[in-house]
Amino acid sequence: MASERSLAQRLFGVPYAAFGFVVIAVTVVLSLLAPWIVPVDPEEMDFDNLLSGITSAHLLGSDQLGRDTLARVVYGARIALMVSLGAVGLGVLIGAPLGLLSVYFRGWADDIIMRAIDALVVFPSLLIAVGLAAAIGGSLTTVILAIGIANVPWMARIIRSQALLIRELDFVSAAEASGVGHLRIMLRHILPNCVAPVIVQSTLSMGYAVLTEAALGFIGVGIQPPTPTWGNMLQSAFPMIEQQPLLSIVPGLAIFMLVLAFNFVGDAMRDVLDPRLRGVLY
Amino acid sequence: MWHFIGKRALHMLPVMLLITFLVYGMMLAIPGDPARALVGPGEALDEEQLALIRAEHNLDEPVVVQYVLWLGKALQGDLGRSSQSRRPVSQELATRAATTLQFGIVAWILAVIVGVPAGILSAVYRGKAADYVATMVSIAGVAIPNFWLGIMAILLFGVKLGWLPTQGYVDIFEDPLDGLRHMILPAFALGITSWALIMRQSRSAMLEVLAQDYIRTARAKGLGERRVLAVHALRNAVLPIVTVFGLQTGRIFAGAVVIETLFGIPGMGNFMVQAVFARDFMAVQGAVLLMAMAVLVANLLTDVAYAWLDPRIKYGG
Amino acid sequence: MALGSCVLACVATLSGCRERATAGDLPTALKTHDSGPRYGGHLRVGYTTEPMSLDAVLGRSGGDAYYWHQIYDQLIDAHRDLRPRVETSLATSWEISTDPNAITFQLREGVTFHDGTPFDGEAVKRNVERILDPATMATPRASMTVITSVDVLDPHEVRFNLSRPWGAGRNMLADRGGVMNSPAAVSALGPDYGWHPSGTGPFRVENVITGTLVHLVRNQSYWGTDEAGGRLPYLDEITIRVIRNRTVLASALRTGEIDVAYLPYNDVATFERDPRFRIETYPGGAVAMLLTFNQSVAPMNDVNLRLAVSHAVDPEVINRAIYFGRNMIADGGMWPIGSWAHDSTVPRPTYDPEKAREYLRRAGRPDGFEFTAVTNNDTYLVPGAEVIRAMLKKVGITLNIEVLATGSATEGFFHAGAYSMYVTSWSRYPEPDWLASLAYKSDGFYNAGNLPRPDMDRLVEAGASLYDVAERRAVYRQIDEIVLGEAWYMPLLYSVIYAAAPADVGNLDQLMGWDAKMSLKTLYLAR
Repeated sequence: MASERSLAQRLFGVPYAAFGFVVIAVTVVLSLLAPWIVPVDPEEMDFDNLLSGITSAHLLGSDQLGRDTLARVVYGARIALMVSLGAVGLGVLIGAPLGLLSVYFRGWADDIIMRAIDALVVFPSLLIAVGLAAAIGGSLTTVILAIGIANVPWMARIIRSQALLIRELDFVSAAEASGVGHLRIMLRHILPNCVAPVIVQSTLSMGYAVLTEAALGFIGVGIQPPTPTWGNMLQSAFPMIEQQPLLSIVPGLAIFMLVLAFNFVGDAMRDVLDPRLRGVLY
Repeated sequence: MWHFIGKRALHMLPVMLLITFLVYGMMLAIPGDPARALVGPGEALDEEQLALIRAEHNLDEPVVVQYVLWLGKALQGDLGRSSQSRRPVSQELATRAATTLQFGIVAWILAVIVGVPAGILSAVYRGKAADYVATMVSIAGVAIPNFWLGIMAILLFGVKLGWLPTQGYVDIFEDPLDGLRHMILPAFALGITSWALIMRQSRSAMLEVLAQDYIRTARAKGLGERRVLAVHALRNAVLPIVTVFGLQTGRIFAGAVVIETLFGIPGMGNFMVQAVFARDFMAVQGAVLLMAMAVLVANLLTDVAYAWLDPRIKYGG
Repeated sequence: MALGSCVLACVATLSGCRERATAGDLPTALKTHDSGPRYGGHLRVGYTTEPMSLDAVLGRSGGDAYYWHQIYDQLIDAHRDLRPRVETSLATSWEISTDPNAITFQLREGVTFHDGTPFDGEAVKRNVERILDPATMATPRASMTVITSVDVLDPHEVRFNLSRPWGAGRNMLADRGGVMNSPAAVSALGPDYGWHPSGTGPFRVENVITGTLVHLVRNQSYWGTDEAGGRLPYLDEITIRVIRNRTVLASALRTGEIDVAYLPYNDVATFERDPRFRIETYPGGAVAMLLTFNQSVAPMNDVNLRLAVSHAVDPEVINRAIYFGRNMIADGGMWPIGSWAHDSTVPRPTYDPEKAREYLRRAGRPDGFEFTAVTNNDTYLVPGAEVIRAMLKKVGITLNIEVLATGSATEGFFHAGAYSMYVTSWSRYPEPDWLASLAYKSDGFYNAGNLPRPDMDRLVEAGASLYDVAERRAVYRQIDEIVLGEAWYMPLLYSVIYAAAPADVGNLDQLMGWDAKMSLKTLYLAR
């Protein structure tokens, strides 16, 4: 594998990847520093400026209740990042061990795990989220849980296919022959070699998680108002589409940019880290 | 070939069983008394009535027994009753499933008839302006929230220009023209991701094909450029469509939940969302089960189509 | 139950025609500036809610009325101000007796149900008995139990024997309870009857596509006539299309996909400017937003906290932010404005943050408190609840909001006791006893908490029994004093309903009746 320095250089060498990194970095900084960057409370209602366009008081306009769109988009970015990190993290935490176990033990263990994965893969994250919302109601936890569960089978499959290749390599057989323990082989030899494809898939999944969260918020079964999320913003903006289209445009663009950024970075990482995967993922 | 299909279908059975278990398991997540959740709101129930419901749904049995009894009923098409309309869930789902299917197919066809030619053209005119535009669109198409695209389409074509209907659904078999008119915007919004992926895949498949020997031979034999493309290239470009179909069925269903809500199409997705708000648990459970099964069947079809199209995959495998 | 689910549906469609200047005159069927009603044509109506049942007796959503008004007639129809409207009623006259308590009706002759069977005394008897049978689960049962039996005196004369005087009866019979279904069809179709109803009304059901539309066709043998003696209805066909999203509803009207709809408030101004459309308004067509409290669940079991919340909310701001200033600040209780029951002189809490703080101190919670309210999944109520949350925050109260579908919210609030406040809307129910016996009486379905209040129960019973309108008015004023003074039901805004249609839809001013729901009997298309 390439050295860290040259990896970064190669990644930034791809122009669209650089764009992606910048967008993600800006989003992270904005959401971490939200209270200092945007001094307006996203729930504060300015009843003298309802549905305003771009003004000095409201740089990206205000909504039906006079809440500042900029503040809400920035706070919405927090939620978007929380959801995507949480969901993908959950997917990796559950999916990776499953994938490794199935490869390592082959036989019936592999069969059982893979059948479970096959079953899980037919549930798109949105469907899981709607089901969970019906059972326990929509919330940040439900949304992360739903998208996380939907990520599990994909992570497990990727780890499995990668690990299958590595397993057969000489150095693993050699280690096995010299009596190194199973756990040690998995952790020391197989797992590190799976990192690249997992990072690639995770980055792409984060984009999809942002899309799913927004869709759930839009249909009203995701994180409940008045929490400012991009999906909730689009939901309450839709009835006002004629009076103030800006309200519908801004959060949509925010989603679009962040997802684009995740996809660009994911693509670039795939090209750099693991060219064999080109065209395999999504 | 039939042997292969049979084997794949058989292989599907344990997966199917697992899926039903997962769907049933949703109920275990309900906090409190599931009996209350099953009858839905609007009923002031006393303990006696709750006991009757528990007996009807076997809620006092161990989970596994509950599940087996539920599965038995589900296999006979009995998915319980909707707490909103008090009609059988299977009956409620039947009409809606037909709508969603029609809608999904139109979206898919639209994606194919736009995506494949665009991908091919983009490959043929590699490096030219057309290729550049097509690539940009395919990148954007994957990252754009499909419902937001729908909102923007409503804003432009419905509100500003007034060209197309922005809501509702007309059965295509009853009134083909009006049906399609109603379907254009939602199908476009729903299919955009598939469309982008098909375009991308057909482009790379086409590039690969164009570089291959037999195309060069065909050209050398003096076949017209169009015939070369039509005969050889297109046939080889079908594979990417199948690939995307396999990957996208689930997401098309997921997308339909949102797009149907946005455009007021009375399909399964719209029904599900209404059911969530009404805490109509049996209805949600039935809809999730039906959609998951549909995705499973689509996956099987994809495998079969693969085997049929790609001679490298052995039927026996 | 009936009421609960209705609440939301109705308001969805706030609309309404102008109150007639003089309350007493007959509907002006033919406007002079029109060339006269025309027969034929297919009217396409857009509405936000699908019916729960087309059988008026079984439906539980207030929105059902948009469908059943076209399919049925009532025993006694009513004007908007609650005077009976004989010329459109199935009863041609009635006589009230107080010793013994009874009402005797003369029935209209020559009326048949859609299935061809005749409407007569026997049919009335079977309809009332069906409603009273608990197994039917009829929505209007609670308002009809005063009827002990029905005697058929003659094919066209029936007597309702009553357990007590029934002053509320006339108006109750203008609603679901007075609707007549064909007994033959009811028993022949059983549970399927709800989607294949057979009434006496101007239109019969041709086709229902679940969740999409209801298609109605002209009842060729309808008994009703217009003022000139012409047969009603004018239209050949009606399609009522379900369009859940109000923005989309307005845009469908603008693009000509539908002919009539109740406008969302944000679109009223655009339609007012558009010369192609005519708009009819109906002030008081519903209660657009109200707070109701569960008096046996903490913290709202404390009257001081209820009053604190009621004083902390500024309806004027809600009207501006949510309804584009189109609704009216509530100046009284829940009784529909434009009816004799409405009384704006009853003292009631108004916006005053200082008073709110004062009540917080009295409750021993000077630094405020936190509680959870439920609201309906509705494009007006959800942001409305958010504004209320922001207003309460200013006096130190933290409000958490939970959003549910109307049915679930109704169940959760009125029966499960899961919330101590409900932000909702309420249909126009003209007869005051309808609300009083369901929402104010101790055992009422819409009395959250069902706290025993013998004083209120006595008032409610008196109001329902009295036949004299002036006496009833005095009773309902007393009821309002308790309800508003102790903050049981706190209306914030009364709806003004806006109905719009292209100029070639005739008789639009007759679209909205006593309950502000659509009635299409006299509409026509001049195209």
